[in-house]
Amino acid sequence: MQTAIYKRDLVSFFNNKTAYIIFVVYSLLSSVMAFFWGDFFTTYNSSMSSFFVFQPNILAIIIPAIAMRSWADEKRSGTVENLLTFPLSNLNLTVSKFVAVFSISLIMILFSLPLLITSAIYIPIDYGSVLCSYIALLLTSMVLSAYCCLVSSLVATPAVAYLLGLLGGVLWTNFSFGNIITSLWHNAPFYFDGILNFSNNYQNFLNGQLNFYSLIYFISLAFLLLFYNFLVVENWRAR
Amino acid sequence: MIEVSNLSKSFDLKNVLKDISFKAKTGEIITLLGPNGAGKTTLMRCMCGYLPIDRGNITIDNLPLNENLVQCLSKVGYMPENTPLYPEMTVLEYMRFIAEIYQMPKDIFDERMTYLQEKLSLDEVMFNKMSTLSKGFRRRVGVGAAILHNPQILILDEPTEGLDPNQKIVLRKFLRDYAKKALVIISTHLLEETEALSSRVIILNNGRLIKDSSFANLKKEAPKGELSKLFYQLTKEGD
Repeated sequence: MQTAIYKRDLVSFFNNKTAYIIFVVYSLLSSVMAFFWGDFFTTYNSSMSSFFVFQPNILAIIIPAIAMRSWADEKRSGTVENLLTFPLSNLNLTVSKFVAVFSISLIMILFSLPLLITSAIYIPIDYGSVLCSYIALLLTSMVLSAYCCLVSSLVATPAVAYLLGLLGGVLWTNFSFGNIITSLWHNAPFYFDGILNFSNNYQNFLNGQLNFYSLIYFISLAFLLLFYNFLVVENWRAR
Repeated sequence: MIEVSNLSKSFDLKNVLKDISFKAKTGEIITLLGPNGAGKTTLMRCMCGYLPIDRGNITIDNLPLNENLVQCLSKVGYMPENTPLYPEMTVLEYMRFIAEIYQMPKDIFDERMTYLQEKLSLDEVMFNKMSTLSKGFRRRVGVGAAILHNPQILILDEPTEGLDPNQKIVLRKFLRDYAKKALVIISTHLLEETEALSSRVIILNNGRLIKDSSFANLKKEAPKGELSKLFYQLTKEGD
């Protein structure tokens, strides 16, 4: 990974007031969803499920806003021409950009810790379960970051990158792609539906299970999207 | 040092570069001259690995550019046409960013910066944000960034565009000095620029190389020594 690119993307994000607006919106959305829709105060929340259950949708709204400028802004301002003429490999460029977006997402997720700490004062927390849920959050962020970086590399403006990132993110976290595949492919193995659906894999972690297949699901999806991003960058340059 | 053989490049169905071949070595200042849309910028972008080529080869120190992109690009310094820079960075931050990409030790960076500040008169803007710089300073920062790592090949796309007459004189003198130990390739559509700088001129028209000659020979060939007439004849014939 190229630390100069990584640091620049990070500093550029935090130099912008939008960064703080994004963090405030994330914290507000997380709290409002958990308190009002998740019945946070009336449910027994030892695993903080009222909080974690809404997180995929919130991340699907917020992460595109973090990643939208990643490549699209470089293309819009022309700095991509500098970037691609530096002696950096395509893999290096792709990974540096992705890690920057993923790091910002993780910093944003840290803003949920006060809720955990406050809850721990009043109710006994099942830390094992909460840890699993945080791992799910991390994996979801990883996939969404990779997807939004890819989208940002495919379009010319950050606004379009945001809209496509949002659309893809919401579809992925809410629609049952397993169902679609099994309805199109009638001889598909019965477990396909369960394996390919985001909600099943996410729920496994929320149930406190560190499920190996779910782990593979998230990691392979992120790698696939990153690989596609790498191919896009490779396609731009001399080959 | 750099060899371009039978290079062709097209965008969609339009051939932008057609069968371009030339060799260039250290000590030369080559001007790529041609009317607007002749293919100068595309040729430069291909030589910097920014654009993939359709046919032909580019080698830098006998290494094919497409197979040794990172190694070849470490020997090249490039300034794109409109000098795209990160607006939120100060000049010093940008130079540090470039130095980090080239993994330049701090003492060498300090030494190079002292040299560049003196030669390009960047002292007064070192702590200014890029977004506040005038066009002339943007050009000078762009040139400084391109030569910070002391490249063997310096490729500048219209480097004096937008500079005032005094700044042009300073930059031209600097490029003449730099060319004593490197190969400098610039593009321009200004004959005045060619006259002031070049040891060799490559004239492009409609994507074809129509003249490759030393500046002295070109001057001899020109009717009554007037380059503008020769340029008109050559580019008109091509149309």
